[in-house]
Amino acid sequence: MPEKVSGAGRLLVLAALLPVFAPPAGAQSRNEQSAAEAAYPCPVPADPAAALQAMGELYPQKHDRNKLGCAADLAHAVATAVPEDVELALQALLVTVEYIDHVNTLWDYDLYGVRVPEWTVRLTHAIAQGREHEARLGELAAELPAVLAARALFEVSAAYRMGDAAAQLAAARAAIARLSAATTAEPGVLDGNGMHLLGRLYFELPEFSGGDVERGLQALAQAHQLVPGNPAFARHYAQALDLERRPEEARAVLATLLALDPAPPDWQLAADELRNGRDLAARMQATELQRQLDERRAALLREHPQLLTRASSAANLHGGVDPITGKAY
Amino acid sequence: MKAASLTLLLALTWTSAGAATLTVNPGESIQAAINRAAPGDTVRVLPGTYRETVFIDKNDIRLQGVVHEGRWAVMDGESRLNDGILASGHGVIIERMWVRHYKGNGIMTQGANNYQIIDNVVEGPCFYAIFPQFGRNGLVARNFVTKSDDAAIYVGMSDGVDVLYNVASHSIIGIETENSRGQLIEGNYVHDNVLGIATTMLPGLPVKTAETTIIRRNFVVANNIENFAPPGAITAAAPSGIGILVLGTDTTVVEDNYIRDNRSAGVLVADTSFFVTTPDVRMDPYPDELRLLRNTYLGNGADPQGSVKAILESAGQSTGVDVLATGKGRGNCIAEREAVRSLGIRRFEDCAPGTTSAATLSMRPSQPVAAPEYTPEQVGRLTYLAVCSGCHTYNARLVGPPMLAIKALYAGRPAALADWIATPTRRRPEYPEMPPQAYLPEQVRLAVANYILGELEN
Repeated sequence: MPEKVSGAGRLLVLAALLPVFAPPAGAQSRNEQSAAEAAYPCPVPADPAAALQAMGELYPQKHDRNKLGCAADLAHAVATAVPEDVELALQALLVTVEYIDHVNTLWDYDLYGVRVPEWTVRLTHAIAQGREHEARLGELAAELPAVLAARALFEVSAAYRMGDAAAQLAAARAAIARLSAATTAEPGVLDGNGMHLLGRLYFELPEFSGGDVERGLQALAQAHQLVPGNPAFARHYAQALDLERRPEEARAVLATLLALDPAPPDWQLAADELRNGRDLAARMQATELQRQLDERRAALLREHPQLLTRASSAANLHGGVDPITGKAY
Repeated sequence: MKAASLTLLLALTWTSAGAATLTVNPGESIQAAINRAAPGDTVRVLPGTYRETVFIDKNDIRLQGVVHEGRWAVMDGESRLNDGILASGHGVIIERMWVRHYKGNGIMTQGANNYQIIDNVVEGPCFYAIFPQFGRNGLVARNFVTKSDDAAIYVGMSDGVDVLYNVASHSIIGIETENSRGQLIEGNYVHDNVLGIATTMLPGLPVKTAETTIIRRNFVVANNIENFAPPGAITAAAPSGIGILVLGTDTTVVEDNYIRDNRSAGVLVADTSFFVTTPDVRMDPYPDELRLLRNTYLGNGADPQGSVKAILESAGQSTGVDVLATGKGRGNCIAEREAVRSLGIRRFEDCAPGTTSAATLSMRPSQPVAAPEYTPEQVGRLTYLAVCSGCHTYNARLVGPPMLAIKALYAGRPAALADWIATPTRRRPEYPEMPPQAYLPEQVRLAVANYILGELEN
């Protein structure tokens, strides 16, 4: 979240914009009750300073979807009250993207879609808010590198679960154009997140849909060089190298995860990427590295037991262990 | 010959080496005969209708339906019972049974090696018609399977299985092998499904590899029905009109198939993430070392659907192709490149002339594999997977309540839970009543109860 927030003195309609968020009636799915769990209380701050303080307290607790959702709602309210403020709109959009990504990840691990109603309600709400800021930023500062990159992040995240294949492809291709422009002007835009997403899109899209493995690898490498302490950048780059049959380079990049020293807002990210890194090391048969990454993750989880372990509902549904060996997977 | 005299004849039939043949007459229980049978025995089921679930946990049992003057031994779940035939014994043979209208699995083997599922008819609506899982050395042959809400024939996490000469239709997927190694899928007629034949690697499962599948000499025709998978199911993402799907699996051979009139694409080669976004970094998501040999393609891609349509449009194409490759696998090759309408195969090499899988006649081992005796813990886990996991998840409502609630209710009382499993009563008005699982022997119910109350965790 950007540290500096301006225009906070003009939040006249803040309270009116912060009801308890509740799902619409009629959400249906395999677990209809789960839609009700999309509701979360959000404080109604007395004044703008209190709103910013509440947001600042909630935002770092990224393991908690309700707190992150509430932080996004507060950022939305703050930005909506001052519609001409680019920084506030950018902040609101980026916090919203983080919340959307968080819910997308929860949905990822809900392989059998048991809680789809909850995820759908949450995403619908967040995307609607994000779209307001995305549109406003397009009007106010469309060519600003940070705006270009933030809009790309939002469109890709919004389409990831809630868009069909055509929407996902369209978002990805539009994002490549925006991210190319943004990173050309400012390679480290949004703390390297622009370059990182550009690399992932190039790497993952089919060649005939705009994908380019080599350009993807280059951008992933550049993102990792720009912010070597970002565990997601390191892991994605290592994974891409491994998939391209460059295991020695992959192993060296993956080993940088051992040097992680995450600050509170990044604890969940670190736990997630240590898990992913451990699993990647296992696939690469880098046994010692796998053990070390697992130990680091276990220590982090012991130290911060509130963090999510990301147990997959597939494992959940299947009992979570190999039925023959009894080993967890 | 009338049925009565047939019964008498069969009742007197004994096989050699002390193995017995037990005969089940209409009105009698198949399970009761299974319970009386000893390893090596044959249970012959006379034509008639049987409304039960059959559980076979003994080795070397042959369950054989008798077809007489066109009348079959029919097992009817009446869309009320979950499973038709569940087998965990090794060396089981299930043949000539007509299994219909079970909500879950028609015929399932779980942890069974050296099995044969042959000459059966399995009709849905069901989830899987034939579902061998966690087995080695299997044969699934000459079955007629239809109307599955997922795969009609579904080989899961297995090794060394031949799927031969089956007819699979009107299902989401006709034939699927998932996270398995060593399959021969040959001579099948797969038509009018959403997707014809699939070899897949899916995340979130204990087995992290999928490789060595030969898909050969199949008739893969008009798999164009609308996708009727429930929202949220993985299969809901499958676009209608795919003949053969290679999803993230390695060392696959596709050879000599007749692939016709599949409206999205004849063959789709894709990374795992094309359908499933759940991250499982332990898996290599790319389909590598694919041999796409000579096949006959006719009329595929006339009306692309869903994600295939979108991806084709992103490439500026409005019609489909014979071969669509969205993945980035390495070491793949294609034969007769110029004869095939394709997209995305720039990384494919040309297959070396003469490349063929013809020398491989079977993926089954030449001798039966070991038949391990499972520990009570393994029995508990396998039974949970086969019987419980279709309706329960650990901490969320699925069809039934979360296991977390059941653990709390029965903490320290496995025998009570085992009893309740046999004859459940409705305790929560907001949930459907659980079907009785009395067909499970007491020690099996106790094993699964111990697993649920002890080892099962989130």
